[in-house]
Order: sequence, then structure tokens, then C-alpha cells
Amino acid sequence: MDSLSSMKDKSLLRVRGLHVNYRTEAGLLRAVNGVSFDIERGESVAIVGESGCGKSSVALSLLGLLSGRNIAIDGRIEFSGMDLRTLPRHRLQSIRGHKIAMVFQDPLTSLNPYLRVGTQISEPMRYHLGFSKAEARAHTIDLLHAVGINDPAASLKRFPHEFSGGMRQRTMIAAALSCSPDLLVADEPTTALDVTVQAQILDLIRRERERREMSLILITHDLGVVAGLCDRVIVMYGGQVVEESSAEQLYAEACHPYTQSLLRAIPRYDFKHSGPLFSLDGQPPDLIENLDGGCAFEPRCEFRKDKCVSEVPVLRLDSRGRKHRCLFELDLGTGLNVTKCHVDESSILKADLTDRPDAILTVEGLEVSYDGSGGLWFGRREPAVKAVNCVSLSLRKGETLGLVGESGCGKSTLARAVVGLVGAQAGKVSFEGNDLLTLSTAALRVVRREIQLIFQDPRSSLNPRLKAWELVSEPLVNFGLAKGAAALREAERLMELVGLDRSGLKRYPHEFSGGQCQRLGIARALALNPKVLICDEPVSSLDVSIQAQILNLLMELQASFELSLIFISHDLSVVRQISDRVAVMYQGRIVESADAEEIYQKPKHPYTRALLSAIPIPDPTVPGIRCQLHSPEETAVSDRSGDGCDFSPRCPWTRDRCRNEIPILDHDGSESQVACFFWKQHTEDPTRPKYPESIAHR
Amino acid sequence: MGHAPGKSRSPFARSITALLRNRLAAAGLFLVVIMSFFVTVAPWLSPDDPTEIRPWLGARPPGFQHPDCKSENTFSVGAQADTTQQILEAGEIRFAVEEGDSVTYRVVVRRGIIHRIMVVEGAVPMDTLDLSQFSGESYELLEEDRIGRKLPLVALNRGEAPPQGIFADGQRVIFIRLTQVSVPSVYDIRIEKNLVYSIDQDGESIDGIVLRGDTIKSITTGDRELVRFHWLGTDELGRDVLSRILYGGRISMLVGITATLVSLVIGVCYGAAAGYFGGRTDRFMMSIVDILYAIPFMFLVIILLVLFGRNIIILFVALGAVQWLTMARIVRGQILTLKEMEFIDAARVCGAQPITLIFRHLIPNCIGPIVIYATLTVPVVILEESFLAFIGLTVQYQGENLDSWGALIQQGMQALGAGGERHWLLVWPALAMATTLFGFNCFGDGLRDCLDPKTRRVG
Amino acid sequence: MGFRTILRKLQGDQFRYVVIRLIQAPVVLLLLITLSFFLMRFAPGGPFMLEQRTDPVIEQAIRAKYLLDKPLSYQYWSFVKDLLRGDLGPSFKHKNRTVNEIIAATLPHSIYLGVIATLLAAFLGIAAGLFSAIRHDTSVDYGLMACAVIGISLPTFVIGPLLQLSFSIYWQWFPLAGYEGMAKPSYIILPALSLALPFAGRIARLMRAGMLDVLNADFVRTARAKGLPETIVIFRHTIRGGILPVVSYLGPAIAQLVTGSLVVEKIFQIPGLGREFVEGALNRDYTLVMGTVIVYGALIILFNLLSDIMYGVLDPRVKYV
Repeated sequence: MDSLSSMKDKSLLRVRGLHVNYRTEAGLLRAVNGVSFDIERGESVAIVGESGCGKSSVALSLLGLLSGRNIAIDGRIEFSGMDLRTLPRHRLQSIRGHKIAMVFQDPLTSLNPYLRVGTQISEPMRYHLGFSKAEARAHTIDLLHAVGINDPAASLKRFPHEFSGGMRQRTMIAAALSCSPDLLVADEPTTALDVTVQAQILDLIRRERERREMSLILITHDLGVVAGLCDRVIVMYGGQVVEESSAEQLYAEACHPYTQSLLRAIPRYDFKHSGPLFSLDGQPPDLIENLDGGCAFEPRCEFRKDKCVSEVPVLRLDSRGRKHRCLFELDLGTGLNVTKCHVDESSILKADLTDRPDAILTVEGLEVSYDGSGGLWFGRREPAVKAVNCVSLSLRKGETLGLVGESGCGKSTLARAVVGLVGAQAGKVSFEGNDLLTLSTAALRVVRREIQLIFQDPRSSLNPRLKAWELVSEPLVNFGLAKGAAALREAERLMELVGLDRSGLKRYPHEFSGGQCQRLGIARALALNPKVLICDEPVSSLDVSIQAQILNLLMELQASFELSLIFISHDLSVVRQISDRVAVMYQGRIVESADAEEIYQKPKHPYTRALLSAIPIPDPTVPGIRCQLHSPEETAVSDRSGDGCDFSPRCPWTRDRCRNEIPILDHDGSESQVACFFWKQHTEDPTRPKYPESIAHR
Repeated sequence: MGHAPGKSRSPFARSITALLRNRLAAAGLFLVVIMSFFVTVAPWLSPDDPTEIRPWLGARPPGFQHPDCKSENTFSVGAQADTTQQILEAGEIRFAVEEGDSVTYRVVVRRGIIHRIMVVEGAVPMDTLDLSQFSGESYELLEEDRIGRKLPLVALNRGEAPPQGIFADGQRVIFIRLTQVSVPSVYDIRIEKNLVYSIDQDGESIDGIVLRGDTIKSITTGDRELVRFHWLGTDELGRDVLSRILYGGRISMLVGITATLVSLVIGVCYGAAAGYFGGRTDRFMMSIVDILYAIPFMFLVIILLVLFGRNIIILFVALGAVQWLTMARIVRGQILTLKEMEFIDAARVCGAQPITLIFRHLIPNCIGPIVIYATLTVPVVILEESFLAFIGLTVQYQGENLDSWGALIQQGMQALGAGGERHWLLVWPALAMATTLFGFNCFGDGLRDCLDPKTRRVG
Repeated sequence: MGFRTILRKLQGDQFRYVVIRLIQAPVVLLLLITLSFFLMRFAPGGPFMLEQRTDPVIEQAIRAKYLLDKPLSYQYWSFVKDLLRGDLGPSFKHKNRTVNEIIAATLPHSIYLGVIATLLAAFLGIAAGLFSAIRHDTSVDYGLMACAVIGISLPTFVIGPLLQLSFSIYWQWFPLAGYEGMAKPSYIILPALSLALPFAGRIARLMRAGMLDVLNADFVRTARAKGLPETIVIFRHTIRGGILPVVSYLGPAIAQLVTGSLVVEKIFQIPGLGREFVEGALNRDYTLVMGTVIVYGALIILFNLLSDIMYGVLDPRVKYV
């Protein structure tokens, strides 16, 4: 440990006793409750926590961006020796954007839709550095080039809505870097992005940080993102710092039970947990209630002792140089090592063709397209977009089929088409011998009882004006199976099934938490005793600890009701934990499908491999293999070429044939299928580098 | 969040609480409720019949009081009396009556000297008019027999310059009403069960009498004097302004609410259809709305009322038809947003039939914006109706003019006088209308703040 | 900036949006003309039913003059053809004047009044709304917004006489009524003010709501994080988005302004087109009423168009649906 004076010299930012309170109708919300930390020059620090832990409030208060009558801030924020909180407004403004810059979560709403991209990037330079228009323009072009935007000169003139999500975030970063700040605060910079784009953006941040020797505060909920990027990690829970240590130490030997639980709850794509996932029971603390003594994490802690209820733990340094807020010095190790040895190496062998149950649901050559807008009077009619293009798959009795792809790949549309929520233009969906697409409305309605859907947004999928029991029993009422008291009894049974207390029966959705809402959605789906359950991103809007609860519930229910599941997700790690087979979708087509173990261990399609390599692993010891795709941006669906492989513009191995011919899903003799002409060459040719170096670092 | 302790509250109950917490909305609601209450109970509350004309009173300021009677009160022994209810119920009443008499003279000035003096009735020319020789008072007589300023009791001679104070600047012609007072007399009348039992004139019994309102000086029963108090004064026909405002409010509110309902029905049906079907149907239907938006409907309403008569039914339909466009847009937008919500899909997957979908899931979730906009439409319609009344297109029902607030304001402005002397005729109706509109606007805005999550903010 | 320059600056969707609006405008006007034409023709007691019994010969002549002896389609077409030539026909009541003459004599006064009122309303409304949004949740905000709601709740024909009572009769600062053209602007102030105040109130509320929406947007936080001074944040980053609701209100506002001018011209005795219209309507001077409606309709459609175009220019994301 350095002496205090030398530490003071090195530290760029010192935060001491930061409190942020919001006055709400329900009472005082203590979002940040005495947070202190230091950031040294050139250091990169992550602040990690689940939603509502106060991490964003910390980030915003650093720059003085929290203001208003209902917000009270207390504490010291020292930057290069100046107290930012007492600084006069104009001095603070000369630091913002100049010395400390910030990148926000949602690049769509964080860029001004009315101003051109060039203006928004050059603004800080014009103001802080006094650049002339021409100078600023030249620098902006350089910046745009540095952040990887094609044709920077033309891009200057464009508006944010003409950019894709990744390009917008690049623009945000360019604006933040424009004055070469000493400190970059990135608030969940990749949460709104697809995993392949996330990898690129993280790479960009890492590269620029190293090049400019700037300090970084990365605010995130994803411990995987932190692993390869940050030196130090600060874990927050309930508005307080619960643990602070170096990245290596944290992942190897987390000492606070919360950190440890978080690490254990994250599903990992690189190995499969056996049995149920580790899950953290209960809910994060309600910060409106007074924290009346004791440890904030105590109600959820598996190691809690009597002392935890009465004594408030303080942040202290333990014998191994870690700071944590736990009364005990627990030797927890990491949960990861425990489960790692459970990887079932024999699972690939299971993939033999015998002993497979019959398919319960098959989809053949399904096509769904959306009408383009415009064209009623004089306007040019936009071409129809094929959201689902010639998709075939089959779901066997009792199995879970994972359907993976990035946003806009058509996976949700596929789910909706299967249950008949959107009409299909061509193809067949057969369920127990009936073609659902040709059935009459009445007949379809009857068949639908057997196929139910679970939705992505648990709140929006529940009618806010109905009580829980009305919601859960609605399918029964619709089909005339139960009414009144009988419906109430059924609802009670269903809610018990999904682990909800019967006291919730007469409550409204807004009185439930996100995870509980999703349980209600599952209860409703189970009401009709369906045979097939289609889960459309059921956990993507939930926190990690809640995610695991829901996944475990789904697996339990599947086992007890012999459900066949189609599990749709953008998150390959989650899919791995629950699926028997996995299909990967790209731009409306299935590019690869195989048994889960096979696809994760021997991915064949270049897109699958890119996806897998892009997933950040919450373990700094696993070297991140970064496979950069050719085109830095996801190509818009409408831009793709009519003939040729959809993935060819981004594929690192594209050849002439790929641009002229559409590859079809090809059986390789086993159950797995790939839609690529050359997968054998680039997976089996030992002379080829696994991922081309030249592309890995452009 | 978890289960909050205490009773579970529905979204509706939460909105109500939020509404009452919003001071602006609560104040608006209070004003609206108060005004609606007064206007609804006007017949029971109103001190006077708004159509009761007392021409001898003319326009009197607020606080004016006079003996409470009709303009003609007929009593004849053994028959039913024709008079006010209060007199009928009093039993024994004493009327103090001063028979007045009035003569109107016309005086014309030419080149600074009095050119002609004449008695209007019969056109009798005169040479001299000495106002001081009479025991009564003299007033200027304005158009439509309205009483103007009080004149000094001076003498006017033909061929001489007029004395000071008679003619206003630049005035050439003046009508002078001279009132004379005769001997007062007292009538004691007994009424039992609405029938006149006896009539005594100064102690002598007579069979019947017609007492004119303008001659009655006081009415007493026992120790109590029967007076009519005009809180807000009277208009130039002697009608009670407060009653006229209350009854006028009924018309305005009736038009406002009915036309809003008309717009509601059209707008909700149209907007819901466009939103529900979506796609090309929606684009086509909304293009029509766009086009109609550009048409100046108030002009068409004016033409419509002129051509087809000013029937109140036509007005309801016409004003409602003007207002439905925005309602249609709002409902359509709301339905489109709701259709994007997953619970609609969830309901369909759960086997909900279209009827269930619309009435259980779509409509209940649209009610917020509909109520907000309807609340904001009422004042707009009230304004439009009063605008029409103001330009002279007062609504009629079965050929009778219904004086709404707009009509009252218009009449008040007409009667204002050059120096704004009769300001109460304009100010009070305007205030009543402004208060109501203010209430509706505040309430609507407050509702929007509470119900529209987009504008809801922390704290 | 000329109109052509604006058009050239627009790209793709924006350009298409503007062009479609340009094409739509004449269609709307034609619709309005047709609507009012047939409304007139089918009215009971009809416009051309003569009130007094006249000589059949004269009646025949009048019927011929107004083409009433021809089939309806012929009447309509000749009416539209005259209209395209700019001929609105003779006045029905003013025997010696054509509708064109009446409009030419009165319209400039109405436009003068309208322009002054619009400028007043826009200035007062935008300033109040902006100020109120910046000082959100303070007593300044509440005070201004209470004034705005009062302004909305007071109709023009109440404000007019009240202004007369106070400013002309009590304080005698401005003339009571009358009109002396542009030479004596003191005559136009009270009428313009009474016409403008309700609109100023409405604009203030729209401006405030629009500004608050934008001020709470994430991108304003981004602008602040860049260290830009508050004036730049407000004037460069927020006004453009915040004023959009006001811009889209411009079209309906002009329609209401025109309607309001009917009574203001009556109250203040301004010899404008609005007064002609009211008198024409009450006297059943049908040709005059038609002419006025067409002129006003064209004006309103023009302003709707302008409002749409401005919206398209201000918001790059606009898309014609």
C-alpha cells in the first residue's frame, strides 16, 4: 500500500462519501449511499452492479449532470485537486467534455436527432479548444476514421437516424474523445447493442484508451464486459460499494457473497452447468425503505449469521488487499471453478440419431414478409422486407430448441408466425399433423391451446388494468374452461406452480417486480396445459440474478410437464444452459443448426463462430478471441444483396461463389446443418489460422 | 419493488389519487364541479325567472333591489290571483302604490338653438318646456325605450340656446322622459288557497285591481317586506343578470357536452377502426383526416346555421363534426401504440376473440387519452358556440332564442354604453364563462399530467 | 433563404414529404369549394329562391343570370371555370359591386390585422413558453402558465371589450374603435392584441410542453456532458425540437385566427373581410359568402402547407405516411 501523499499525486479522481437521494412520491430514495473511490491516471475501473444499485447515479453525479429540485447530492468529488461540486458553473463546463467526457447507454436517444453528426462531434472542439470550423471539420474526419466509420467526410453531413446502432455509438465515442479527455466515463456503452457490435465497440474503447493513456470508468451490469477491459472493479449493491479489488483478484477470489453470487449466476457459453443454475433468491433492496441497520445484502445472503442483522458492515481492507463490505472474511473461492468441472464431455456422444422422439412441431420453408410503408398517394413504395426467409426446423417432444440471433434477424417474427400472430406468405407449420397455416380461424384457435408464447417484456405483456388472477386465468375464461371462483382457484394453483405467493392474486401488474411479472406470464402460458411453449427472449430484460431464477423455473416446468420448448434469445450463454439443440438465425435464414454441445464446441458457420467469439467471458484468464467481422457494421436488412450469401459482406472468408449463390442448409450426415459452402475448409484446414489475424486488428 | 404493504390499488385508483394531488387539476375539477352544479340546479337555485321582463327597471347595477312583483299583478275577488308565487303564499299582503305618469318630449337643436320641442305622443308642438314645474324627475330616453342619464330640472325655450346639461357634445336630438308622481295609495289584499278573498283600497273594499309593477313602491306581509334582490343587477329589460347567467350556462354546457359526445362517438369509432385495421386502411383513413384538417369548418358551420336554421340539434352535430378529427387522431395513435404492446399479442395467443380483445384489452387502455381530450374539447365547443352566438347566430329551439353565455356577452357589449356605464352586463357573463373554461382547461391539463405516462416525471 | 434553396437542402424523405404536401393543397381547396357549393345549392329556402314575389320575366332573367336554369353539373363547372379565371361573380346584395371588388377592398385590412396579431401571438407565446420551460417547476413557471390558461379561457370577444373598457375608456391610451390603415398603428394595437392573446396562451403551453420534452431527452444530457454553455444547449440543441409542436399548430392556429378576426373586426369596426363575411352570411349574400370562404380557405390551406413544410425542414426524421 502506497503512502497517502503519493496516492494523492497519482489519483486523478477522488470520490468521498457520495450520497445521491431522490425525493419520490413514495419517499426518499437513497440511490447512492456513501460511495468513495479513487481513479488513478491511466487506470481503467469498472463499476458493476444490477439495475437500481446506484451505479448510473454515481456516473452522472461525477459530471454534475444530476440536478433538479428532487435530487439531493452530498459528498466530495475531486478531479485533479478541484472539488467539482463546489466549482463555479463555467469552470465545471470547461471540464465537462474537455477533461472528463462521457458516453451514454442508448446511442439512439443520446444523439440529437435534429443536428448533423459532424456538428455534434465537432461541438466540444469548437467550444473547448477554440477550433475554427475548418480545423474542427478536419479533426472530426480524423475522429470518425479512428472510430471506424466508413467515408467520414460524407458521414459528417448525415443525421443520427440514418446510422445503425453501432455507428451511433461510434459517433458518441468520437464526440467524447474529441478533446482527448483525461477521463472517459462510459455508462453501459454496449448494453443496447448486439453482441458482435458490442465486441467491436469494446475493442474500440480499449484501443483508444491505450493510445491516449486515458483513464476509464466503465459502468456496467455485465461482468463479462469488464473482464478484458478494466484493471480494477468496484461492485455496488443497494447504493453502496460492497467490494473493490483488482480484476484478477475479483474473478479469482471474490470475497463478498454478493460478488460471488453474481459471478456464479452468469451463464457461461464456454461450459454447461449441470443441474439448475445458481440463482440468487429474493429481490434487490428497496432503497426507499430506510436501511435499518444490518447488512443490505443480508436477506439474500446464503452465509448470513445473526450478527448480519444487527451490525452494519463497513468497507474494509482485508488481509489480501481487497476491500469489501462484509462482516466476515469468507473464503469463497469462485463459484466458477466449482461448476467448471461439471462440464459434460460426453454430451456430444449423446447426439446419435437413434432414440430421438418424434417431432411435435415442424416448420418447413416458412416465409414472412412485412409490407413496406408509404405508397398510398404518390410516394415510392418501400420494398417488402422478408423477415423470415425459407426457414425450416423441427421441435421434438420434450426437447428444448434454442433459437439464436442478433436483433432484427427474424427470430421473434418466426415465433409469432408459428403461433399465427403474423401471417406467413409461404411454407408449412405442422403441429401434430395439422398445417396451422391452412386451418380455419376456429380450428386454429383450438390448436393454439397447445402452443403458448412467453414474451420478452414481462410488463408490457400484462394488461395493466387486470388483476393477477384475471391475467393468469384469462386463457381458461377465453376457452370457457373456468369462470369466477373456479378461475380464481385455477389461478391460485398456477401461481403456486410458478412460485408466486397467493397474496398476489388480487394485485395489479405494476405491483410486481420484473421477475415476478415474468412468472405471471409463464403461469398464464401454462393455464391451458400446452404441449409447446415458445419463449421469446424471456429473460433478456431481467437482471442476472433474476434471470437464473426464471431459467431454473422453465427447466423445472419442462421436466414436470413434458413441455417442448423453443427458446429464443440473443444471448448464446443463456441458450446453452437450457437447450438440447440450437439453431442460429441470420437475416431471416437459419445458417446453422446442431446439437447444443456441438454448436458451442465445434461451430461451423462463420457467423456462429463470430457470435461465439464476440461474447465477453467473465474471466480475465480466458483470452478473449476477438473475431472481427469484415464490415464493421451490421448491414441493414433492406440493403442486402438479392443473390449470394446474406453473410458474405461481413464474412472474413468470403469468396466469389458466396456473392453469387445462396447457400442452403446442408446436412453433414448427422443432425447438424450448415448453410455455408466452405465451412469444411475453414474449420478443418489446419494450415489456416483459426481467425485471420489481419482482420482481428484492423 | 415487491408487494407493497397495504391494500392493492388499481391503475384507476392510482390515477384518481395522482389527479387529486395535482393542485392545478384539483382546482380545475373544483371549478368545473361548482359551475356544473350551479348551472344544473339553476331552476331551484335561481332567484328569478330569466325571461321575466321588467321594462320600468331598465339596467340596474349589482345589488339593486325592488318590490318583488310581476309587471302586471291581477287580483279580483273570488278568482285566482295572477302574481308571483311568494305573494300567493303570503296570505295577507299590503301594496304601497304610487301611480306614476310619464310624458316623453322630443327636443331638436339646430345651429346652437332649440329648434323644436314637441310631445312625442300625438306630436304636439310646444314653445316652452319647464321641467322644474313638475314634481317628478326627468331622464334621457334612449333607443328601445331604455332610460338614460338623469337630466337637471331646467327650462327649455324654443329659439333660445339650450341650458347646460341637457345636450351631450354634438347631440342634436334628445328624447326627454318626464315622470310625475301622483298620490300614493295602499292596497290590502287577502289571499287564501290561491284565491283572492278580499281587496281593500285605502280601507275601502273593491272587487278587483290590476297593479302595475312600475307603480308599486313596496310590498309587505306582516312585518316582512317582499323585495327582489338582484345580486348581479339587471339588464336593460330588467331581467335578473344572475338568473340569465345560470340559465345561459345551461345552454353553453349542454352544447359543450353534447357536441363533445358527438365528436367522441365519431372520433373514437373512426380512430379505433383506422388503428385496429392498420396498414393501408389506416393510411387512407388518416389521409382523409389530414385533408379535412385544412378545411375551415367554422365557416361551414356558419353557412350551415344560416341556411338550415339555428336549430340546436344542427349545432350539436355541426360542432361535434368539427371536433372529431383530433379525437380520431388521438385514438388511432393510442390503438397503434397498444397494438405494439405485447399484452395484446398475449391475449390473442390466449385465444381471445376480437370482441374480448377490443372491449377487455384495447378500449380500457385507451380511456385515459380519450377522457383527457374530451375534457379539453368541452371548453373549445363552448367557445365556438358563444362565438356563433356573438356574431348573431344564437341557437334556437322550436323557434325560441336560447341565450347562451356568448349571447349574454354580446348583449352586454351592446348595452355597455359609450363610457362603459353598464359594465356589469358584460363583466359577469364573461367572468362566468371564463371561470368555467379555465376550470375545464386546468382540469384537462392536470388530467394529462396524471394519466399520460409520457409527461409523468419523478417527484 | 429562398424557397428553392430550402427545397434543395431537403433530401430523400423530407423532399418527398414536402412535394406530397404541395400536391395535396389544391385538392383540399377544390374539396372545400365543392363542399360549400353544394351546401348552398341544397339549402332549403335556397339562396336563389327570391324573397319577394317578382315578375316571372324578371325571375326568369335572374335565373338565367345565375345559371339556375341549367343542370347542376353545368352550374358547378361554370362556377369552377370562373373561379380559375379569378372571377367570383357579382355580389348578391350589393347590386353594383362584384365580389372581387369587395374582397380587394377589404382583404388587405384583414391581412394587416392578421399579420400583426400572428407576430404578437408568436412572440409572446414562444417567449413565455421558453421561459417557463427553462424555469420549470418554479413560481415563474406557474405564474406564466396560469396566465396562459386564462388567455386560452378568455375568448376574443371578451378580451376585446375588456381591453376597450380599460385601455380606451378608462385610461384612454388607445382609440376605442375604428381603423385608419397603416398610417395610424395605434388603431390596430387593441384589435391585434385581443386577437393574439388566446393564441399566445396556446402557443406558450405548446412551446413549454415541447421544450420540456426535449429538455428531458437524453441528448440534452449529452450536450451538457460535452460542457457546452447552457445558452448553446438551449438554443442549438433544444429549441429546434421544442418548437415543433408550435409549428404543427400553425395551420390550425391560422384557421382559428381567421375565425377570431370575424368578431374582432366587428367589435373594433375594422372594415375587413371578416365583417363582410358575417354580414354577408346574415344577409344571405351567397356569392359574397362563397368568395370569402374560398379566400379564407385558400389562406388556411396555404398556412397548413407552410406549417407542414417547416416541420419537414426542422425535423430530419419526418416521413410521409
